[in-house]
Amino acid sequence: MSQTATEPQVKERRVKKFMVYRWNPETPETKPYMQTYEVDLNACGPMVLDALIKIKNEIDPTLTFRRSCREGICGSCAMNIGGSNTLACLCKIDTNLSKPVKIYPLPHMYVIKDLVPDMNNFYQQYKSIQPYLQRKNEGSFGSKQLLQSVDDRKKLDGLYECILCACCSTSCPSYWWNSDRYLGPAVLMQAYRWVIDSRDEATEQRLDRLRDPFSVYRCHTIMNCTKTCPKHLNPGRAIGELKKLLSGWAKKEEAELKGSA
Amino acid sequence: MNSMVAFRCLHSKIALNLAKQNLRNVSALCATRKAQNSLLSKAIPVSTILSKYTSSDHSHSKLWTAERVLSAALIAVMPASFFVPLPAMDYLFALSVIVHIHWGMEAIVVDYIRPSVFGNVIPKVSLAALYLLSILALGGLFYFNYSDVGVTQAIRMMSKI
Repeated sequence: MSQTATEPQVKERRVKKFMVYRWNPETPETKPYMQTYEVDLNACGPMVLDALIKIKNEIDPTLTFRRSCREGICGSCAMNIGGSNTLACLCKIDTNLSKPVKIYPLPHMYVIKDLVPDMNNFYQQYKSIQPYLQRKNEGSFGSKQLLQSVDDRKKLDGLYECILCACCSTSCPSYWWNSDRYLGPAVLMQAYRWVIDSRDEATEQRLDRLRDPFSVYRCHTIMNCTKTCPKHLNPGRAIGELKKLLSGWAKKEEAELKGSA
Repeated sequence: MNSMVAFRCLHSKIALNLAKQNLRNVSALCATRKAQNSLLSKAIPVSTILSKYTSSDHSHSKLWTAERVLSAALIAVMPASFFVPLPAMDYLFALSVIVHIHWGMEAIVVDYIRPSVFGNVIPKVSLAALYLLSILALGGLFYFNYSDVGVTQAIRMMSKI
């Protein structure tokens, strides 16, 4: 009895397979392929990002991926894990050891290397909706606080939390086929966020920029965006609200508080 | 409250800037290798949206509204044309169903047969072909309504067989 108590406990290894998409721009003649890594889950953190960092540190330093905050606030580690877009840092490793975890870059994006997609188009689209406060007659900007009632502020909840990880946009078939002209759910949700902000006064110009057949209307309410969002936001609803505003079925409510303090 | 919002905005902006900086680092890295690699020196296509805003693209909002109204109206028109045995209902049935199908097909053609894949000609030809097909279908059904028993009666007869 005493022997078992003093003996160091040897934990059984829990080896999980990770299949990761690999592509190296320096060897373009080699086609993209899946590389399998084995990780002992007993010596690894609980999230997929922990496993990726462990692989990069201990097995293969050439594995390339973006990561920063490791707590779901920066949106860098967005990738396709087990068939759905999510943040690697918020995605628990499936502890069923018989199945490998398959990790791909965000779907239908140009790949720079391994799990790193080119986000230029996405950021340019975000820039195009002018994601900042616009006032008609603003004297010295930033000298005073603009008033906003508690209820008006509440309208921004569920919109401002977006971290622009692009999980939703890259899960949207319409965005896959027409990302050159369709803005995609993430950007449209931010467009809506600035349209309904009680302090913003460029509402009509913002809406007019979205009236063409492509910017908004390539959305066919597939709702992959809402299903995949790692922050549990609802871009599908935001686009619906935008369409209502564009058609005139809904109007932006008057601000409850105006002016500055 | 305002300061909280400002803080949060700032926070997300910082996150975005960091992400952008990340990307810039990657592109800087890529740039140093450009000389060796022709694949990366090729310009990666980015959105045309910025130039698009300067051109006057027609508004799609009215068409979208019409599509929704027709879809909702079909819920009433479909059963009504079977319960109300009027020739006018045959025409209404044919018109609303064909227009509804046409708009649905148009969305599919515009989504999939796109200039970035098929060039500038094929998308226009496909759309024209769809219009032609829809007009033919509508004309055919109108002709059938005019010269025969009518669409709804034909469907009723078919269900009896």
